[in-house]
This record gives sequence, C-alpha cells and structure tokens, in this order.
Amino acid sequence: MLISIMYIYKISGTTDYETLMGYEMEEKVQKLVFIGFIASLAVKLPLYPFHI
Amino acid sequence: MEAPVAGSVLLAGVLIKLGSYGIIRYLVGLTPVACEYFAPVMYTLSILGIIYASITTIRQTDLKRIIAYSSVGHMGIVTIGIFTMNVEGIEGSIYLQIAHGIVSSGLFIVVTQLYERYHTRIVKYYRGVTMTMPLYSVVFLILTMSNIGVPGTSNYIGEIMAIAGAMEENGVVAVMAALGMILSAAYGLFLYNRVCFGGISAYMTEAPRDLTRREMYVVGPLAGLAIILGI
Repeated sequence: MLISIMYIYKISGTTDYETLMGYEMEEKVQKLVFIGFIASLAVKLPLYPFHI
Repeated sequence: MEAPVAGSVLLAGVLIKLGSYGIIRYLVGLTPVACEYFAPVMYTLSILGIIYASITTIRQTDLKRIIAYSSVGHMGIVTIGIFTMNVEGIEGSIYLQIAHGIVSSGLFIVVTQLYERYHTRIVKYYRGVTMTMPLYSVVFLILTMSNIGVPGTSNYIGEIMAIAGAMEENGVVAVMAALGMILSAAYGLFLYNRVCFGGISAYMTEAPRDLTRREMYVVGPLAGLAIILGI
C-alpha cells in the first residue's frame, strides 16, 4: 500500500485525495496500484487466502 | 481467541471495517477501471471465503471462535457488494458493515457474560440456559437471529441489498452469496440451540443468575439497535 502511494506521488506529484480524484491514471498503472492496495486491505478485511 | 472482550469487540466492530472502508474510498474512487477488471477475481475469492469460512464455523466447538469465524463469511458478502460497483451493492455493503459491527460486538459481549458465570467457552458444556436465564436468552436470540439475517433484523437489509446488487451483475455470484446465508443459518441455529434449549446441563453446577442491571445496559441497546435498524 505504501509503495502504491509512493508510486502515485511519483507519477502525479501529489497525494491530496481531492486533487487525485481529477487525475486520470493509465489502465496499466491503475492495475498495479490496485494490486498494491488490495494486498494490504485484504489482510485487514479477512478475504479468503489471508483470513488466518 | 484468548483476547479480552474489549479487544474482540473493537476488532469485530471497528477494525475489520477499515479494510472495506479502504476499498470503497481508495480503490473505487481512484482506480475504477482496475476495479472492473479485477472484479471477477474478488468475487471468486469472496465466494470461496464465504463458503469455506461458514463450513469451518459449523465444526467449531468454542463459543467465541464460532462468532469470530462467522465474521469472515459476512465480510465476504460485503466485498461482493462493493465490487458490484452499483448503488444497491455499495449501499448494501455499507449497511451490512454497520449492522455487523453492532451484532458481532453484541454477540462477543453476550458470550463473555456466559463465560464470566461458568468459566468455559466449550459449547458441549452448556444446555438449557433458557430455564435459568430468560432475559439473557432473549438478548442472545435477537442477536443470533440478526447474525443469521432473518427478515426484520438489521443484517437482512444489508445482505439482501448486496445480493440484489450482485444479481444485477452476475446471477451465479448472487446465488453463491445466498448459499453463505443458508450456511450462516446453520451455524447460528446450531449455536443457539445447543446453548439455550434442552434440559439443564449437569455441568452447570454454579447457582444460576440472570443478567444484572449493569449487564443489561450493555447488551440491551445493541439488541434494540439490531431490530430498530432492521425496521
């Protein structure tokens, strides 16, 4: 998740949520960011392979 | 499983919801195209989680463990609701999170009240609690029914909306999520039946006492909210 956020900061130059809402990411970048976020959120939300 | 009651209540009531909050806030907000792309994977993982966790819950013999494992199944329905990406799905999953936070916390507190009286959490030890603790049985019944998702309780509204949202996207996903509700009825009724009905267990030798006023003030509002939110 932190790596994803750092990557978003690198490509867009901001981490402000309101500004990022207007920022259009490429599809490939979106998929990478999604994987980074879901890896940490799936542990918190007990999704099947991470529920122990 | 050996966590104190406050830890379990915080974990089930608030901390688990942070994951789905993150998904709704960041992933649906910032990466909508990737959410559409990865939705089938998340459906599959959620359905696997619902069915596997529910079947695992049925064979647990520890009161607290049954309630802790049941939240994995419920959060699977929440994930399905979010990744349908339509209004019913997301709204239903938010409602289900609120309802689950109330009901799961209430069940943890109720189980701990039984533990404080008899100092064990094994289901086989208990029988016939209705005979000696009627007030406790009523609160436990309301919370168990709400956990199952009986119409008229708060979880029902969230689950039916999440499943209606999934039905718009993919019928098979909706049917599988509904299968999870049937399995949740299996372990919920199993738990309540074994603990509360039947003759009084020979192991419950300590003098029975019903809920005190202090304990009623703790669980009463939670049971009341479970019904008020459902109507």
